[in-house]
Amino acid sequence: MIADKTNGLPRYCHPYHGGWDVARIALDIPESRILFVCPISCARIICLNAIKYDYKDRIDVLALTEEDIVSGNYEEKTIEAACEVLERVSPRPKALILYVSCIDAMLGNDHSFQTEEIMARYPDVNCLVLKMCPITRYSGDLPLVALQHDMYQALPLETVPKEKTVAFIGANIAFDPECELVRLLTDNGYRALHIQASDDYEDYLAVRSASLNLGVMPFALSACKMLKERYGTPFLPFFLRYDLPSIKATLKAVSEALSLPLPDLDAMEEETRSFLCSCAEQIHGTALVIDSTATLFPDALRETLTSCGFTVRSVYADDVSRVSPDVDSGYIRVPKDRSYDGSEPVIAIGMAAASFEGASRTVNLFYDNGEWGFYGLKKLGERIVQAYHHPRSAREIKKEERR
Amino acid sequence: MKDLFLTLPPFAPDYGGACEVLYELNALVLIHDASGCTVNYVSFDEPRWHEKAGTVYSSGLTEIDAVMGNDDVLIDKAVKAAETLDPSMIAYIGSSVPMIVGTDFEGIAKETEERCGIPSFGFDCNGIRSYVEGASRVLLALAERFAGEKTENKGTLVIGLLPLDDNNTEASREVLKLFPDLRTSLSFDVSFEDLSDMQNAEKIVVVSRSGLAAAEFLNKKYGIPYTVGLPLKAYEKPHGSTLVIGEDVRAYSLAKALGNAEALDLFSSDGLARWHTIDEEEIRIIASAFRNVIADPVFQPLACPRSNFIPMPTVSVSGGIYKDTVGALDVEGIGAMLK
Repeated sequence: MIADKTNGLPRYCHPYHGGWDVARIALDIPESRILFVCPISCARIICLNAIKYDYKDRIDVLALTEEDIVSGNYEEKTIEAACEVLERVSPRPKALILYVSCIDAMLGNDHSFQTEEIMARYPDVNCLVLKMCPITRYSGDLPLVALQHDMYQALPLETVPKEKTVAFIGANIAFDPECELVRLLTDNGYRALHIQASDDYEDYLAVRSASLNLGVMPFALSACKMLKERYGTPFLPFFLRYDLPSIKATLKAVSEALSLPLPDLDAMEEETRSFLCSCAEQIHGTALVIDSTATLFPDALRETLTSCGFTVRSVYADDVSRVSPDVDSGYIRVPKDRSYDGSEPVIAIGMAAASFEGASRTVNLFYDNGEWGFYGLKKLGERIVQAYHHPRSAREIKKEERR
Repeated sequence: MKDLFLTLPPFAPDYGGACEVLYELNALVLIHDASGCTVNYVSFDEPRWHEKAGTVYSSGLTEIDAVMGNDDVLIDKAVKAAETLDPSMIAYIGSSVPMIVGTDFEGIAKETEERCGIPSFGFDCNGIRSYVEGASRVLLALAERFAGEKTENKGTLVIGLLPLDDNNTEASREVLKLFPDLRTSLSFDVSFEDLSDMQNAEKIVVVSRSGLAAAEFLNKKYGIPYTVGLPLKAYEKPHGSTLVIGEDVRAYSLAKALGNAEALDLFSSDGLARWHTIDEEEIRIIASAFRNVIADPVFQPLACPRSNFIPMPTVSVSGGIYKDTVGALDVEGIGAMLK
């Protein structure tokens, strides 16, 4: 549950989500397939994203009619549809996800009957229910929190022996092997397990064998707690943040938890600072604007960039109370005049900021692109310089993304 | 199985069509949802959003407010936002949850107008019906409310031109060029002030099924004659049998211009087209009888492998994710691709 930050105003919704929606995240479960059971419009964005990013062959939709909703007969219809999907697709998925939407929360449906029936007919299929119910945002779990929790709750209850595996929970994109956190693990014989990088259902099951879980995003903490209770796996609440002290603290914490030798963090920090300072020089004082779709912690990024010679002019966030009071800031969700005119030459980090500012230069970043740590900061520095030399507006990027 | 979609994505819903008509009218539009429906609309149903973001917002509906029927929360939000945005009108647009709890949108609109004096409307969309129905209801409501005294009889009134029926806004602008004596287009390239002029047109052209109800109303009230369809130049060369899949009036107009062609409409239960269906198996069977199939690229897997598939993307189907290929106005270009 979260507090309403819109101050009694309607919510402004921007169209920039980096192609990440709840279905794409759920399909991180390897060899899974989704059956949406909802009014047909609820699945439009899901299916169009799936076509755009080439995974539509893993998503089906059972469109509920007004008659289905009034009569309540869609429980049986769902089972029938699920069975038809499982009969028709080849190879048969290892997991079938029944995804429901807001009206399901309103009707208070219990899906255990459906999942039990489907698994009785198809014992080789793990059937689970996930919920795309933003309407419960203020009365239950956030959709992304519930998603991460319920994805891992569907793991078999039985425990397995622990292995030299560290599971990354809650990342949209698997970390690059060059990231110092992954290198710290792999250099010391640990497997860095990202289920989103796998095509093998066994890797999902292998999460149970992890010696340590890393909660990459705040949304993943509930899942990490559940995994600890079930399988005894400790976890570290390590959040994707672009700030140097927290990067060092995370590396130290992982090193201590697994008794791994630490690299020279001070030298790595110094090298990163030096690199970012050289990037700042290359953009000749062009101001930056940052939004909270690019990083969940835009003010942390602002502080880091400012300390390395960049000028950050504005921050757009869901909650601007977290932004330093001496920085121009704006709510990302509240209607207000946006400039859209692009008259001031800024580099926008995040597509929403690019849109609000009419920026001609954009760093197309969504939730850090999984580029964490000193590695991530250096990649971001490169992206800023690239945006300076190769201007692209949010609109142009959208157009380039067409199939 | 009926209602099971293994291939096609869901098409633009009624709330998308309703919002699309209101986009340029300086209207404060509140989709009564938790935010998902609004994100659907701004992400894939409104190509104008990327040119200049509109004044369409989510009401931020919560479970508690929905269960308790706290309509005052919705009205308070609209009135507060109106103080900042100074809209010419306010429109509440329904979604699936309000359908479940039976929200009285017309009553809410009436109360809003009483409170702030701004013309207000309520449309009980539900996310199940097609965008054509949503757009049709809004166009009719605008005609009923804003058409005034007839003082002139000149020019063409275009009704039903929606960017949803094209793949980009430039294509929609091209449609307007078909009418050299254009007076007003009710839902594209229009301002709020234009609404009070619609009754002064000499004739009406309905360019999509969305515009039919409003045209019939204006015909009945003011006697303005209307025609249905795009005035496309006929393609004269012979070609194999051709199926055009899309919006009823658009698909029929193109089929008629091409000759030796039939139309399949995706969004209405009746109309000009020979078939009206979104059932994947029915479409597969119908399409298999044609040498050429012209449709949004998402239909290609349903077309027979030996048929000549000509991709013609539209926002209403694929949300602008495909690059431009051919548009419905390019009869010669499409004709050249026929076999």
